[in-house]
Amino acid sequence: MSAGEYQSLLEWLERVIVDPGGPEGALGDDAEEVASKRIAPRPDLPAIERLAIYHRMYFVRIEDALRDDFPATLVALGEERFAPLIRRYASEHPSRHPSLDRLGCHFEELVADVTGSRSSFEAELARLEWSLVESFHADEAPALDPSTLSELSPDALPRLRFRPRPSTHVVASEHRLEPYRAAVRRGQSAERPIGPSPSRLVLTRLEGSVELHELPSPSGELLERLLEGATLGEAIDVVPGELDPQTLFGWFRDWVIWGLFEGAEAEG
Amino acid sequence: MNRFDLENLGLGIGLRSPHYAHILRENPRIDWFEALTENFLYSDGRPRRILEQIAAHYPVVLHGVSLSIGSTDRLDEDYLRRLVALRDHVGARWVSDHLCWTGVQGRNVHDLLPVPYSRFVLEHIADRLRHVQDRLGAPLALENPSSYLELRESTMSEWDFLAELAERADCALLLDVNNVYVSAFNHGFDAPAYLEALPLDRVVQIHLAGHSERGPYILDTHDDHVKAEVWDLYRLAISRCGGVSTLVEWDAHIPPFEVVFAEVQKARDHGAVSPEMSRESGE
Repeated sequence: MSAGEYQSLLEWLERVIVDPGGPEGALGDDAEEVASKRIAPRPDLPAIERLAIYHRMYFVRIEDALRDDFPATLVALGEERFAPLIRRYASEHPSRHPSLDRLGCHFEELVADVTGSRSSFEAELARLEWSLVESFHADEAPALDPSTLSELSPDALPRLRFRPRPSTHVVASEHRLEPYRAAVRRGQSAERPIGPSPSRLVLTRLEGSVELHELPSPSGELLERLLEGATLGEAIDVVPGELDPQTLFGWFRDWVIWGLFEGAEAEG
Repeated sequence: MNRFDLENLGLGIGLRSPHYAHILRENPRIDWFEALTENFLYSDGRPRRILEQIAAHYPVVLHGVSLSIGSTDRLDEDYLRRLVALRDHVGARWVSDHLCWTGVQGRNVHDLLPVPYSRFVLEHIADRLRHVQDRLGAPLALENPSSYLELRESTMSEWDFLAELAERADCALLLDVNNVYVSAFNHGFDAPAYLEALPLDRVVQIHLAGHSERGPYILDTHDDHVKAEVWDLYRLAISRCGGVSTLVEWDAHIPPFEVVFAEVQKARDHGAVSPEMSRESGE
């Protein structure tokens, strides 16, 4: 056996196992004859059935991983729309990571495709649920010490640039997602929102648990710009009119308590 | 004692998330835990903190499923760097993975797929094992897989392949007794003969698990008690290996901790040698 023959054998096996149509789909009408050239058969367990064992187990693993990571999306789509997505997802986005925990990173795209929009309720739910997975696994980092801000001179505030903790994510959506997700999580009947209602959630991990907070407007827009890397002076433009310093202080107090930031440095 | 002087840790359990709270609350009198490498390698969240707490109280071993030692893809250097860092961070006694491949051309099937047992593949895997062990600075314990198909390109038996591979790469072995039983049934070979053919002084750990009979084949499901036939094989292995760290894996339909704990304690009735006895006998 040469290196090329070995490479070719592995590629053949992988192709047959992951084919959504199973080994018969991958190998065509004379599947058993083709499979038997590679796989030693036994009278009570043909070569094609031996390949099918691996094929079935592959899709069970993919399905289990997606069901674990997207429970609310599953309920919103319904079993009849979710189940066919599993095979399509595995085909279009095969795992390229050593951990199955990373499998669902493109699931939102597929849900958006089948629901017709990235801002469909189901696609937005998938985005939120994937953000929760990312936050859960993100690198740990200490949260900003509140005294850091109080030690800054007032004229340095506009030049402040904040570093988010790796587990901090903002999910902006056209629908209110969290009541529905929380109901699914509690095992309760989930009420789908009647229509769009723009919402912004921020999530971060504290002591191992991912916590979510609703962000009203305009504090949500301001925070999102800060997390994108704008200085406070640049980000403040998204707030219409005059901003009461006490209001701004209250927002920051909450954000620091929630543990959204790792650090803050004044530019220049 | 095995030739690597890796100690007999006693009777252990595969660390699984449904048991985290019980372990942290009750500090059960289990000898050691085996953690699934990939559950902690890319996550710095709660599971990692729990592993740190458990490793502070118990000996821990890391057991991987994605090294893909048999693949033709380049070895994942980032994976190896993270593996060394995790091992050192939690003080894992050793690291193990499987004689298999898990993907090709960058894709990962997340299964332990069989390799053909040929001269070319033996050299290929031996080279890669040496590279991995250079990175680890320690022997890797390679586990015999369970399998459902045999490739026609094989020119050697699995046991001859594994025995020669272990010698060539100078690696340790993780002997999964349940896997030997499952594969023996699925391929019609003699399980005791498999055990007899292995260089048992390289065995640093034994795995036990439940399996499911599916008519013409057996599936390695890890979802039940260890079957009587597998205990028989374990007795044979222990009679040849002496005191070896023994562990029960239970991965699906996971019962309460006490059930898995009781399962591994049964190993005492089947010849398991305690660490104290190993030390006294100088094994």
